[in-house]
Amino acid sequence: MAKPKVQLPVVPSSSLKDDGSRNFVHPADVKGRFVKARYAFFAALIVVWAVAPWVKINGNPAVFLDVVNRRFYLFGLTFNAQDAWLLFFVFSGVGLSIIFITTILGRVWCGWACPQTVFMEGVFRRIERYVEGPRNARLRRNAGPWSFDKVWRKALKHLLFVVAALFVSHVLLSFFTSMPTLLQMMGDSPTEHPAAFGWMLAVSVVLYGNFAWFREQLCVIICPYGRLQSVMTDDDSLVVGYDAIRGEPRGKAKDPEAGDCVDCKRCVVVCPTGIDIRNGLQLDCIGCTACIDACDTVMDKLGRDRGLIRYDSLNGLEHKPKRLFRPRLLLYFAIIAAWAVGAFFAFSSNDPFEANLVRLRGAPYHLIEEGTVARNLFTLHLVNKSSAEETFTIEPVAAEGLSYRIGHEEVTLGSLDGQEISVYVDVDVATFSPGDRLQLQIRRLGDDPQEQVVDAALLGPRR
Amino acid sequence: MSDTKRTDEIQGEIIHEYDGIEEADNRLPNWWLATFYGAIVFAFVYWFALHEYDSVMTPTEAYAAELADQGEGDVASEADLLALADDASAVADGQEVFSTTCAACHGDAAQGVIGPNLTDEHWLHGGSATAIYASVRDGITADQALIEGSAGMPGWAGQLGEGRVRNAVAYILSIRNTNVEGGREPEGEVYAEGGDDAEAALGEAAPDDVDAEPAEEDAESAAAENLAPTGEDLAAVEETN
Repeated sequence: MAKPKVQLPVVPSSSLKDDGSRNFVHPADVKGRFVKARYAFFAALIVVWAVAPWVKINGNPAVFLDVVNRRFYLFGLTFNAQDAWLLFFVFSGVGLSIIFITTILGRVWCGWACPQTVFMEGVFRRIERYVEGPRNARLRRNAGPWSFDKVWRKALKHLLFVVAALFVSHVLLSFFTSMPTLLQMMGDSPTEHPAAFGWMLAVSVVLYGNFAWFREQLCVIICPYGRLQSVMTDDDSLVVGYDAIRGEPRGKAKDPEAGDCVDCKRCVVVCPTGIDIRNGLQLDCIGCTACIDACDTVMDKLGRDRGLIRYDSLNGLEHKPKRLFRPRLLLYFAIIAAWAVGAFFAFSSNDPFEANLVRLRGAPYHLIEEGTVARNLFTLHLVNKSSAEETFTIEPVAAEGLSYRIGHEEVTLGSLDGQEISVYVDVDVATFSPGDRLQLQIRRLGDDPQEQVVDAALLGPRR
Repeated sequence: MSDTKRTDEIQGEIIHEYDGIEEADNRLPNWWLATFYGAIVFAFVYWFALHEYDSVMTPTEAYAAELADQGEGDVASEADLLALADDASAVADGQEVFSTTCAACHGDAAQGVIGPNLTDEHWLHGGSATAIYASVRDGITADQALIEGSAGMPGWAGQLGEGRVRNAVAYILSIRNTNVEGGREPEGEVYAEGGDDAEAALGEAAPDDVDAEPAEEDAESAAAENLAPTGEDLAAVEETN
């Protein structure tokens, strides 16, 4: 990465001190277009997330990952454990999107959509702000003695944090238990559902600890995504950055020799990870845009152009030509196109039902009727993969010399239910030749009929 | 690599440099160090609690204990099954299970085809309710099978589920000793309900203990080890009927 032409005065700034202790961040309030847009977006995300478990599509929850029974309902689609291979396309799709989006838009995920940011800035930081007041009031109170004012505010804040953590953990849990089951369990005593209650408690404790105390440490130290920033972004990716050419040298507003930066440090005090954006792109930056709004407000007051800190590429910040299309994007397009074709065929091959015909274990064939008939025993395993109850008929494809007996010629199965059906076939030894096969036609009745033929080799004596 | 150490304004003291890539040596976050030292302490607690003093069950032991509990709860008692045989709806369901699942080998009227006749008083693997239940649930392996050339019977618990296995047993108990027409010839020992002590003991035992059958039968079961008999073998068996 090319070094800026302007030498920057560096102010060490971070959420950690040199001795390893926390430099606990108390961001100041900030107003502006990005903050407004972000709060609206956070609210929309939280509403969609919290409403999803209540919505039903085709009679099934919109999102229900029933891990215990290995049944997965996603937006009207139903999957069972046999569909686990489709996860390849899910995970590779997520991976490719991360690479593609980061190359173009930088860490827009961190600032706008990551649950850590959405709940931290959209819920917990809001609670803290309303109960404890703005940055300066918080700092003053924290430094002061444990007065009544401090005690009740801290107690109320943590109480509200616990309530919020419980809310988040319950909605999260409902993704795995379904909402009706969750509500029913909430009405029962915790001792009746120790596992679910334990999970709820553990998730709540982790969420509370995370949002009350750990906060930006997750992004700065633990999250691997920020660490990949240096390999996934290039000089043309969108980042939140400081225009050093315009801003330097920092100085008083009235100083004609100084750049546009008046060194007011508003960008530093509003930063939720406690960094100084003027030090350049750094992995602690979650691209939250708070410093953009803070700086724009100051520039407006000074009557200077906005955008001293702005969304731009590193090239743009150095006043170099910007470009969107670059060779690596073409490569990504090619890979994503290949992925899309594969995913399309994979998901469209998801059969409406599964039928497997297998020979009964340990039973080749038996001769009956004084050796003139070879009886073959099979089990047909039928699973309804659709999201609604369906009725299936099982009918043999007629063939000479075969007579059949099918345990159930018609079965009705609930969504993702399965049944094993005994099938036995009497083979006329006189007409049997090795390689003959049993064929069964499975039909799904109803408005959208489907059919599938399954077959299996028949056995009999060689003549 | 340069040996001259310098101090970066943001990163602190640079201790290594390879091809322009610099490595600083800052102190780790204190909370991170706490998890690190905490993990070391926990390792000792875990080691002593689980392996030195056995005061906490290891996951393997806990799994085995739970499995043992499950097994006990699942097994039906003689009285339970006999009571079920008097329950008309259970017997009716059992009859349906029988006609779709069992009749292929035991015949539509349970008279015996490839499998033995279930309506006489002779039983190969025990005639008590619990013995029949064990046979239906767990099956008879080829090694255990007493009919010459037979590959045994699969266990049906997986396919039918516990409830339908019990109903099938209820149906079989309801047709015991009805001696239907055209039945397969008697095989195994006579079982009289509540009578012969030896039979009752056999009934309680798992199918593994069925080796306590007569020596003659053992020889036959040894002959049954061939899992894929030729047509001639089976024809020979069938012709003896």
